[in-house]
Amino acid sequence: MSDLRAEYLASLEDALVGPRRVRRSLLREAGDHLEDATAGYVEVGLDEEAAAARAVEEFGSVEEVAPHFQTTLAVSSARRTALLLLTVLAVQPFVWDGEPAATPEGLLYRVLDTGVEVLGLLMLAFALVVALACGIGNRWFHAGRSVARVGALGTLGSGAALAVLGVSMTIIAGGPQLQPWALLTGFILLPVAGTSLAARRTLATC
Amino acid sequence: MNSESLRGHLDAMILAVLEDEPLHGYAIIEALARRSGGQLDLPTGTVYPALRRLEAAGHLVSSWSEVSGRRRRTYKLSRSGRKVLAGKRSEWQAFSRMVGDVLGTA
Repeated sequence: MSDLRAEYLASLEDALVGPRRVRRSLLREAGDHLEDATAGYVEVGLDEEAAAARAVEEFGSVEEVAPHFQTTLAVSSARRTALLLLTVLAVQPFVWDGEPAATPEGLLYRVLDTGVEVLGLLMLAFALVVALACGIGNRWFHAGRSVARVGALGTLGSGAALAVLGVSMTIIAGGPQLQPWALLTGFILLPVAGTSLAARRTLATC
Repeated sequence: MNSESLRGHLDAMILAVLEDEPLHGYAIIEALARRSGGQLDLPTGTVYPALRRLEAAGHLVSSWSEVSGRRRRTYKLSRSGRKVLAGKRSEWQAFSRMVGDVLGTA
């Protein structure tokens, strides 16, 4: 590969943040394009260096091209985060259906319990909308970085609320029993921490 | 031709050049340049994110294939892409006919 093409691709790579697999695939496609364009110009008589310079120039400066590539990365990251959140939420009913029957009778606990159910449903709907908007939703509008940002912020906010509700319910249920805390940690806190991490990564791409 | 006015039609133009056969990125850009008589003045790098967006929308399907001895990501039109192209084509024909009727000839 010519130095010019390699330098350009390195600068483009430095300007991009996002899911490694998508980033690599975009950069590989950019490299393939520059290789093909250089070969095309060599065929019509340019020397290798001039052909590479022309190919790079036509591809667009890093300042021009990187924002477009970055949008692709942000939308892809937001879609992954939304799918992760959907997966985490989808297993919840199966976990909590097996919950021990002895749950506190107090009003506060019932309010929190209803709150968790409502929040869970809202989060499910939100994750579904973001996942669709970042995929097939592109048929009707161009999903951009603002959609990715909303998806990431929504995931962070609702995840934190879910964790607070879960911890409150476990404290109110009382007792030093290991099982409720183990369930909470295994099926709420750790998965929420995972989706929050993914959401923070998505925010970094926006 | 002004790149901003072209950008709004880029998706339809990409779908149009893929109508007859699957092509890889560079071949798509060459076809766009050829069909526009060299007037398409976009940084070619901006076409790739558009291809990814059309793929996410389900209008294109991509796969890696061998092109002249090199592995290239090749795009082909899906059924929904063909449907969208037909719709865009009709819209454009009606629009250009209407504008032509209003502007008339000098």
